[in-house]
Amino acid sequence: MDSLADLGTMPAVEPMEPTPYRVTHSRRETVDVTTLTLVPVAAGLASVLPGQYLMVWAFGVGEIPISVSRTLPTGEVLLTVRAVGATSTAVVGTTVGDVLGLRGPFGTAWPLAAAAGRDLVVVAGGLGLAPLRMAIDAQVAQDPTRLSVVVGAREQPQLLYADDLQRWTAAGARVHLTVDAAGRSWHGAVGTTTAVLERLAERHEMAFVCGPELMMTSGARAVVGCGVQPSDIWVSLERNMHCGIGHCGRCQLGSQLLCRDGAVVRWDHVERLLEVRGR
Amino acid sequence: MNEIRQSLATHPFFAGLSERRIDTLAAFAFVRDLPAGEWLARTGADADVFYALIHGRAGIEIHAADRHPLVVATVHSGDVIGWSWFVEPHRWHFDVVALDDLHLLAIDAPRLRAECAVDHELGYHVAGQLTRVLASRLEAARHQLVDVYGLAR
Repeated sequence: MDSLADLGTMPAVEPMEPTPYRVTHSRRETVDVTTLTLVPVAAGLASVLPGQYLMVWAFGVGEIPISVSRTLPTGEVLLTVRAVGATSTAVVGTTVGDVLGLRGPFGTAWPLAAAAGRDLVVVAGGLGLAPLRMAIDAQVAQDPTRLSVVVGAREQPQLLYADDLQRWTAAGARVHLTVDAAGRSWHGAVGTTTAVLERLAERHEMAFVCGPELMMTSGARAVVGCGVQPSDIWVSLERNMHCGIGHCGRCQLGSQLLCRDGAVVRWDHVERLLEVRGR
Repeated sequence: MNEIRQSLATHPFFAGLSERRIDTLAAFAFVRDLPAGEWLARTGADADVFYALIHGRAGIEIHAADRHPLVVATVHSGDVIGWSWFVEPHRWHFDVVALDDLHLLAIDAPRLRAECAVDHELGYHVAGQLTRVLASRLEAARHQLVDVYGLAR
């Protein structure tokens, strides 16, 4: 630990020691994405802020960072995971009763306090909706009429959280869906989230953006084009997060250690860094 | 005529044009309503109309014998439909289908081309706006090509 100030970013328990959580529910969201509900076997972790992530151990396989998509008052955490590599495939493959090890919560959160009373646009692509879900829930609870949500996916079956999308719309938020390709029965847009942003005749003062990096870069620039100040745009970046506490350095991006200084960062702090080749 | 003029004057594609040029365009534009499911354009057909969409949603569709028709982009209120009319050989490159009931301005493309050839300021405006449309669709096509939501390669 470098200074007393670091205490503020450290989880309450020993940061490298996984806390056992048991899977109580598994919900298949898409063909390769699953949401797990986990409950602590004994004492749980500290409360999670919207946008923070956990390090998740599949014992005997490996450990990966996963953003928390929701927490419940009963202490359960929901993790939405895409089966990509060995560890994520093992996590997705767990069944009710299995135990995973969780560390955290780690990282920065979406600046919801700064968004209060302002017109917020949330832009999510693919699995990027998961780290934004709690932030959207909070904004819908506060003032849905000042919230726009733009969600992109490859195809309709890959759109996450259909129930939430309907609920946010019913509450008064403006939810815009777009996919890369569709049949004629699709009622949303076909095209990029950037194209949707450019077409929206809506006033925004602040933006949260999360998704594939190419989509975030294009989306953040489109939001700037809509008149939002770069310092009011926040993106969620992911690198090879390992320790979660800024010690191992594997997640370095410029002067930032994203496991600790991110994943949620200000756009004007990282825009130039994302233009560096071979990073 | 008033509706046509008003629709042209307020459509983003024609923003910034003088009243005189709006009047010129209005002389060879007409309002068209099309029910959902009807075709606006078929690949290979003469592109002799340029559409400015006032209300509704149209789909740009790719059709091939070995697959189902696929909507690869949607066009919405305030957008335009068609660039093939501006580029030789003036034949549609894609199918366009009405996904909702559409309310459109249809502009006689040969007359607009002729006007652009005479009035270069109008031609520059139209070319610039069409380039903006094409740039946006090119970016979207590139994102689709790299499968931005797929696994990193």
